[in-house]
Amino acid sequence: MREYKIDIAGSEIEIHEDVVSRSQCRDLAAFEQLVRKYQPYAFSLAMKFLCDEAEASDVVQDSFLRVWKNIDRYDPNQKFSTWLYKIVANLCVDRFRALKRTRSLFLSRERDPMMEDLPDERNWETLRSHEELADIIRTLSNRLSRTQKLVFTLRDLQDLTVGEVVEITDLSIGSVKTNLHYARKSIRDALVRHFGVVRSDL
Amino acid sequence: MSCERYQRLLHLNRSGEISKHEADELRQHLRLCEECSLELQRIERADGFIDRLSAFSPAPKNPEKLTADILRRVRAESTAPKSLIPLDRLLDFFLLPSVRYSTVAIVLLITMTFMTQLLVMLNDISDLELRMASPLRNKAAEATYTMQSKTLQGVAESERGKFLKENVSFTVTNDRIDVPVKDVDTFLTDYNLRNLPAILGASALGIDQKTLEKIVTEVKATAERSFRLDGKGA
Repeated sequence: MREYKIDIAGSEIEIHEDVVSRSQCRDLAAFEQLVRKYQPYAFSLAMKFLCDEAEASDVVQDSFLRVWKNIDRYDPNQKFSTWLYKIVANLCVDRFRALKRTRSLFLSRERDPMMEDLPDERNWETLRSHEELADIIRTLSNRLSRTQKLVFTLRDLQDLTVGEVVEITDLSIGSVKTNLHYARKSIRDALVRHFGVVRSDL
Repeated sequence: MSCERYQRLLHLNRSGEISKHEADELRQHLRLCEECSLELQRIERADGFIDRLSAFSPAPKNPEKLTADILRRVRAESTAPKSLIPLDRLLDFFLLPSVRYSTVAIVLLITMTFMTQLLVMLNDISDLELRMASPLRNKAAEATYTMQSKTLQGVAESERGKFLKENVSFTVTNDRIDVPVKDVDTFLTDYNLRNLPAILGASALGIDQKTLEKIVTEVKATAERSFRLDGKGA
């Protein structure tokens, strides 16, 4: 049995555990609470990885459907968000692969995103829309492998710990670090090449 | 140590991906190495942009619709008739192409093996029947042992020998003695030949021991089995 401190955070965990266990008993109202709570996390990861709102929405729907089907297999000792991220990440990678195949079949002449298309430095301060974010990430991660992109998205864009990334991707810690190193180096080099080392006046 | 290793550490060290020991080493190296210090500057510059991306949490334009869509699909999934009957699952299993084709292949293989074995067995049986129904077997009762004994012939032709011809089923012609198998099969072995005196009624004929032994030796030496088919000789 776990003990919880009687504070806001603790009671939140208790409520959360209750919601999960009631969902495991096929309680749709509880599952709705779960969806409302975790949908933003799932969408954020899918959007940052796939860089397309319609595709990200589809993946989020598929992910929660999979959560509902497999909720019996969820181990309460694991963080629910990690379990959800793992499902979302798997579906994202599948979708990414399928999209790449379709694009190479039908849109082979589509030009690669260019660094010149990145917004001005001052506009980064007021990053507001999906489209802007999607364009930037697509441009920066264009040269990354699928694994490098996934590790970078989870660690640097979604701010998960290395331990969580290991759990989600099923990669070894060494492999996560290697992929992270190459991804960061590639993206940082591109950014510095484009914007220069010295910060321009805003 | 080469700068390559430190630059790897530099890129990894965003928020605690390297150990404290590695961080200390890196700090010391940065004090001395201009190239790596410049790399750190570049990294910090680039991370200003990455932090912007990280801080931005994209939310669906219509989160309520997304939630509603998810719940609609979940409800449809929950109310959809679920095949829980084992038989249905089994049938579903056999609808998989790989399972279907391999099952057909296995059934065919088993059938063919059985058919082959059955044919071999039938062939064996008919072969056996043929052999059992062979003329040799049918005529076995008419088989005879042919033996030669000049001494026995001499005895048979003597005055006392008439008794022998009348009481024993062998036929003695010239120096040949033909014995029907049904009579001799049981005793015409090394051992049973020694019982010949009883058959011949040796004592009745008054054959002495020496003459008898001579007959036995001669009979033994010449005994050979032959078959007389249709009474005409094999």
